[in-house]
Amino acid sequence: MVLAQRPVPRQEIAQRMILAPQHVRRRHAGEAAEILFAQNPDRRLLLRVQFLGTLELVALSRDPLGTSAVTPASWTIDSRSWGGGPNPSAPITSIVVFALTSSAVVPPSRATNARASLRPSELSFPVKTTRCPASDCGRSGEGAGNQPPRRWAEGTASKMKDNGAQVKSESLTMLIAGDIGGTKTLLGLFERAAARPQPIAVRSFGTLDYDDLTTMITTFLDDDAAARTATIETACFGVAGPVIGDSATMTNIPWRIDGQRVRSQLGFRVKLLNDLEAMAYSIPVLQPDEVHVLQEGEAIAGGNIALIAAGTGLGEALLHHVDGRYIASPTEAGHADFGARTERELQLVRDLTPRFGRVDVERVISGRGLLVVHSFTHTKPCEAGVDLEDPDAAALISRAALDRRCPGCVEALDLFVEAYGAETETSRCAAERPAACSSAAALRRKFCRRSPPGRSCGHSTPRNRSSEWCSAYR
Amino acid sequence: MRAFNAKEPLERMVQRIPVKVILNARAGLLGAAVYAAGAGPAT
Repeated sequence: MVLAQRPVPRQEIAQRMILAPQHVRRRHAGEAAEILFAQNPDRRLLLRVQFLGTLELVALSRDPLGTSAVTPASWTIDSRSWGGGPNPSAPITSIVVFALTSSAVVPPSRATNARASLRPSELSFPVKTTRCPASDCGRSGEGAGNQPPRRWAEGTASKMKDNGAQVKSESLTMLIAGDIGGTKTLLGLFERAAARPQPIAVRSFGTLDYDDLTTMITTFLDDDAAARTATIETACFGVAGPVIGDSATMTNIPWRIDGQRVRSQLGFRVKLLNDLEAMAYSIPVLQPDEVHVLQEGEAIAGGNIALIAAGTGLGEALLHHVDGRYIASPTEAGHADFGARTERELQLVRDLTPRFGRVDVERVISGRGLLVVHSFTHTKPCEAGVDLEDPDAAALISRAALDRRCPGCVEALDLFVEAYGAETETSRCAAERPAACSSAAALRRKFCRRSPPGRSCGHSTPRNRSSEWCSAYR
Repeated sequence: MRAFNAKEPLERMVQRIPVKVILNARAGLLGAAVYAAGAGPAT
């Protein structure tokens, strides 16, 4: 379905709406009306359009008896008054359109101009692209309706004030990025920039507050004003779990993300990365004030970078320097067996093995791992009164240890930090010619280790939570 | 850093490796945006 959701001069509404299907190539929103795509199970779609300071309900309609091979001539306009809006006395026009498809998944409220990224070839009606006289985008040669969209094209668009006047052109072609963790998820709308993408809007979500990623993204797009008016070109999500092909299974929560499904529902390109793989790509663009140097060392030109980050679980990745650019390599090294180095760590392993069947690195070095270590170091009640059921228990343990309020907490943090440092170096060993081994503080460190596919399944002990992932490499 | 560097016989080599803490709490989000902007491998 094609609709507009952009201020348009009153006299142009009919033309714009009728011409909308012909302008599917105009994702840059240089026209008075921007084109949207959505699917509606009721073969009917309504969208709000802000027009001259008045809320307009605008849609298009076509002959309901028509076939899927619809031509623009078969579309009809049904105008009627509609109450409400900032100025109830102002005339409001609505144009009703029947959808071209019945396979729908996106309710009207979720329609955004992200759907404008659909190609003409994906439409079920002939498309004739014409140049919009109102456009000031300066692009030409867009009449090739069968030409695929530019992969990483940067579009421009003109915003229009409520009175219909055009304002300064600026890029409205945006990127969506996500960091999907076991506890919380960050979604961000980014604008391209020379140095690095610039955030336009960022919002945090409780991951398990939503049934799936699509619902969360839709909420983000619907609630954010900038997202509603932006053309989403592509999206990339870092997922706390192994990504195989185009899907990912979250390690610590019952979420499975299908990139193809998200792509088909939202209409823009979607790429899934392991969360540490995604984080690794930020390193080359980080500024000096965004890192703290633990060890100056001597960086090797052309070297690789190892990452380690403890959060809900433990993530590790490697950033390979290849032909002048960095390519991230994800791992599930957090699920490798924990290697005890001291007698006390051996005792920890002996204590945890009967409880968990196997002690992987993440069982010790993670936010949850600190709780496990805390229970190991406390044979009597915690003197700091830390409640392990508290959602912030890991932070409370750290605080109690730093304040020296409980010997057991002090030992727990010491064990945790020692194991963290040792694991960071272990991960570094996987990187040939390492240039740096970045860490992200207490519960967010970075490191990397090349994942050894095949070998990770060779253990006689069950791999527990990663067994499904391991089986994929057998 | 003591645990990091205690890796005989490679201790001297390990001590020359730069180690940094990332302070940007949204590095994962930024990295995904960097990839979306085209930094990743061409596919």
